[in-house]
Amino acid sequence: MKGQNYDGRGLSGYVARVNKDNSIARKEPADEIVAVRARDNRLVLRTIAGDGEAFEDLVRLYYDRIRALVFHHLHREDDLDDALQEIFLKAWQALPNFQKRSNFYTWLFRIASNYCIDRLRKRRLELVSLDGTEARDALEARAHLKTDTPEEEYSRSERVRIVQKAIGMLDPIYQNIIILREIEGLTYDELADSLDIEMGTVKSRLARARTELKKILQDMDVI
Amino acid sequence: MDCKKCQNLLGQYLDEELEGQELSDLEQHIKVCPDCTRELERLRKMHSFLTDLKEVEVPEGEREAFISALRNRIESEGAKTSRKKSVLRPVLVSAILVVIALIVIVTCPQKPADLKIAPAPGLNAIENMAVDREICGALDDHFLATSEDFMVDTSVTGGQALSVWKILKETHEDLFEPAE
Ligand SMILES: [Zn+2]
Repeated sequence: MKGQNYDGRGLSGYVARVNKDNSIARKEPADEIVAVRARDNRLVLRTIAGDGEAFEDLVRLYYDRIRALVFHHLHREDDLDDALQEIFLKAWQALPNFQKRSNFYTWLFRIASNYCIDRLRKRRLELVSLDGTEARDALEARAHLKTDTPEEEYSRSERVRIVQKAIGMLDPIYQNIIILREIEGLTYDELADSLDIEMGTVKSRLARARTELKKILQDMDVI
Repeated sequence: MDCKKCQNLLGQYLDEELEGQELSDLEQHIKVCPDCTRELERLRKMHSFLTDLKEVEVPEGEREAFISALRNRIESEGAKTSRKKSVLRPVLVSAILVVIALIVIVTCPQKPADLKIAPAPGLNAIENMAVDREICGALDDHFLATSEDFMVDTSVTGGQALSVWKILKETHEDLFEPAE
């Protein structure tokens, strides 16, 4: 089943999608997504009107998802709280200029994504200046170090760690779209919205990101 | 369909984003091509590994601690910059009011059958319309739902639309009480 536009009252939502393997599913029915949107928009408007508790509710609603997003980009626990403060503060400051072309949460994902991509790029620059080599080359060289353990012997937590590492070797742009799609479970429409790119670009960027990640995991003998 | 095109579309296939001719061409190709079938299996596997990453637990109490830290941060930021209040010129206000009221009335689910739209432009028109309790009751509830379309159409920001809404509420306070 494809994502569809729900046209009631001019609000658009997405129909629940469940894949063949029962994954990457968005289980909320369209009505529920429309209700989420209406709820969020109320909170947004109340925040702009100066109601601090409304903003706290928005933070409460999306804290876990944004936290996961940031965690999968940056990984370092000690950066996490700082990054989240910056992201939510940015959102609070930008909220009065929020023209609701998108859902609140896709807009929030955009702020968080931009922040993470920026941080990753800065980190790579630091890496380059630290050891004088291209960070990416170094990371790619690591990817080619094959592990001695056959895939069946990985424990689940080991595998999680390896897959996280592999994601970390991708270009930040690809890292971002993999996390948004595979871990946060955004639909293609939501990706286009969050990243502010055309549907064609969503498809090509995602395909490219998956190919790259697949290569790395194959090199590591994980898949 | 050749292997290159097929492998390019495998991700979309897994995401169930393919349809029509493309979908049937791809399924046809996979049936006869062991290479592409293997690639599809790899992608499936990769996807299931990525799914394992979803389980990140938020430590107990972290969220509320974060929110109170953020509250302090916002309060000190707010004191520093003292948020600018958007000041709208009366002409703009009345123009926006008319548009909002029209949108609300047109899209209002409980649209009164005998609704008359006053011909006078500007605030008077709104005041005339707002006298109808039924509209006002629905207005309060319905405004927030319709305002987003309004903002998209007219590039009015949430802040501006909200000031208009507040003015409406102030001038017609009694009418926003739910009708008996
Ligand atoms: Zn093939």
